[in-house]
Amino acid sequence: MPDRVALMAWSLEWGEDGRTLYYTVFDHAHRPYRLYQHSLGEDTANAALLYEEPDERYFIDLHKTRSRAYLLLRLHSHDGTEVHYKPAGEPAAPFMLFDARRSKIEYKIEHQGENFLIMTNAEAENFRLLVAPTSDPTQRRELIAHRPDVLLDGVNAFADHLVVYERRAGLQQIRISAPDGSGERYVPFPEPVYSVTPEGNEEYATHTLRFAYSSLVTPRSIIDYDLATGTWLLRKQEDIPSGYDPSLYVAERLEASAPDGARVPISLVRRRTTPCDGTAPCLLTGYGAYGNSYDPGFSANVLSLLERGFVFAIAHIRGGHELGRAWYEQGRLGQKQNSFSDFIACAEQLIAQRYTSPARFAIAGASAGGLLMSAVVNARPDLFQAVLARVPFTNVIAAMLDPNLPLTIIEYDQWGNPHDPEQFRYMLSYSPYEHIVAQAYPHILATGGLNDLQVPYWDPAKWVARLRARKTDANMLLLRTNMTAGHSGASGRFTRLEETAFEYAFLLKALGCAEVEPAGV
Amino acid sequence: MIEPPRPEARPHTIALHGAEIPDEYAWLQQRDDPALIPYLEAENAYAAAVMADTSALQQRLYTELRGRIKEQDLSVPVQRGPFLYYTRTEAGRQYPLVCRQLAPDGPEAILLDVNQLAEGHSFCSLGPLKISPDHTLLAYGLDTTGGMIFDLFV
Repeated sequence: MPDRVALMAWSLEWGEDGRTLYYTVFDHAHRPYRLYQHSLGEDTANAALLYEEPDERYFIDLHKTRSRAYLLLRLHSHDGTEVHYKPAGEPAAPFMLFDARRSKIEYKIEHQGENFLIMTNAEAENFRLLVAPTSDPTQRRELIAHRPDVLLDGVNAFADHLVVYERRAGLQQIRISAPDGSGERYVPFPEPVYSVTPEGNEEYATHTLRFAYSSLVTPRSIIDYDLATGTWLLRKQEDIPSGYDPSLYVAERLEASAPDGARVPISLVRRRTTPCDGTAPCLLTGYGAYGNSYDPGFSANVLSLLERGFVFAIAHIRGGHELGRAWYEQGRLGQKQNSFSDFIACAEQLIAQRYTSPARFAIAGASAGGLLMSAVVNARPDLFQAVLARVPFTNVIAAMLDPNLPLTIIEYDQWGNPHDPEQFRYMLSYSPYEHIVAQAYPHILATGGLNDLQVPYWDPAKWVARLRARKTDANMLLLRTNMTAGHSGASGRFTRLEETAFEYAFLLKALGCAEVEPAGV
Repeated sequence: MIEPPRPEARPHTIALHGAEIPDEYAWLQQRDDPALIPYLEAENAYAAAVMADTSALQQRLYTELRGRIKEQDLSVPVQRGPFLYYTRTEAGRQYPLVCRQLAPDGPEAILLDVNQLAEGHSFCSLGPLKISPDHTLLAYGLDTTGGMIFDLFV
């Protein structure tokens, strides 16, 4: 007998009684703003409204602690957070406020035994870890102090272990200790540059930490790491049926100098036989927003480019968290243009080190990475031969003036509020749609999704329309809108590959590589 | 030579803080404008026409990409209580199946076949999926538009 709710947002949890469901719903602007409690079998129209967030900058989500003892209601914006909690086994218990929201203060909590763990940036730019008894969460002491060179990226509490995810010098680290922080040790990784993502880890009373490990040359591997003994157990590695020999490939890390002196890391991969004399084609990608780090992981798709002699590179520009919280802060709001100048510096570095040359150089980015594409191609169209902009955010002013878009009000703290004259002037100084000029542009392919609620279909459409009216070259300028999908493109795994095949064919054609025979496996 | 679509420029300005910002394509933001869908479809047709000379290359790339996917595959199971939960994919089918078995090697029960849920939809993506604490009920969200808005089923 199905119970059904329309327009649910992302959060869904069971009460520990097995009869109560908690879920969030969207407002008209696709903002998760209400939390409901529903008893199975009753009319969902009668579900109890537990919380409604009035501040349009704040999204809400709900999750249960790994211990299954508490439900955590988290209210978060790009400016701050506020957590409420209640015992997961008591449907009638109210949510209690943990710490009230304060501008610029972000925190998360975990439950471990008799304590709450609090990861906070209060008086700690790169976050620190506090501990407080559940009986009195105001009694706090410090478990891990702030470190200027290490970002505290996340915490997982297990019955017998504390697992802390960190970033140092652009690399991810996993630190393991007893719940009280003693016996600290780090998971050793087999390569100098890699990517790690925690997987599942839903059980509390376990000694196994599961994560996905990969690198630019090592396919995605599921590892069960024994927290007690340090044993690394490979459970499964992504299988490539048509064949793949990692020894034919080499990953490297470089650095570029930004105009203000910042050192920007670059990760790249190529076949060992790909020449470094400026003749190789190259695809450089980047993102640089929201503090999302672009970690160098494996992509089976990219092999089609590498086998055709490409260098594939990632620019770890500001706006991501790669080098700590300051790396993010220096790539948002009034410092957003650092992301663009960092990317251009990375491109110039690749050319200077003869990995490629402008006539063989393609760039790609999606969403906020599409903002990056559209901004750098306005500034330096001469550096690149082809641009792939997936669901690009190019109309910064028009989008931020539309309060009915889901990512408008909450995004004021990411891009700026156009109603503030000073922030408006800064946004207008780079908004790519406003800076399209009569000049020669590279070959450009833009994609959109008619049902996209993050970057609306009209953003790439307006960008392409104006480019076509103003540009002075005869290069390809293509707009491909998926009429039945949203932000992430097609949902079926094979249909998605058709989209990738089209995009790669565009890149190969634009770079004059359409006839290149792929090297064998 | 294929001519690209040239959408109409309709004079429009955004006036804010003393600035006058031209936005001649603002009309594309009107989802109900009768010229919108024909314009997007014309762009799609133009893109296909410009790329028509790569149709063999596109097919070849697709074959390469698909050849790197293990079509019949199984995720590493996650233990929750007495059960092992996992997803698996079948050769030739677009979407996964959500399954469980009693640990360590009980018979498989298919909880959800996303291929079936996707029937009649051109987009289908599972959202949150939660098993009740006693393992008797499944609650999940389903997005059939691409808008990441879910219908909740129990």
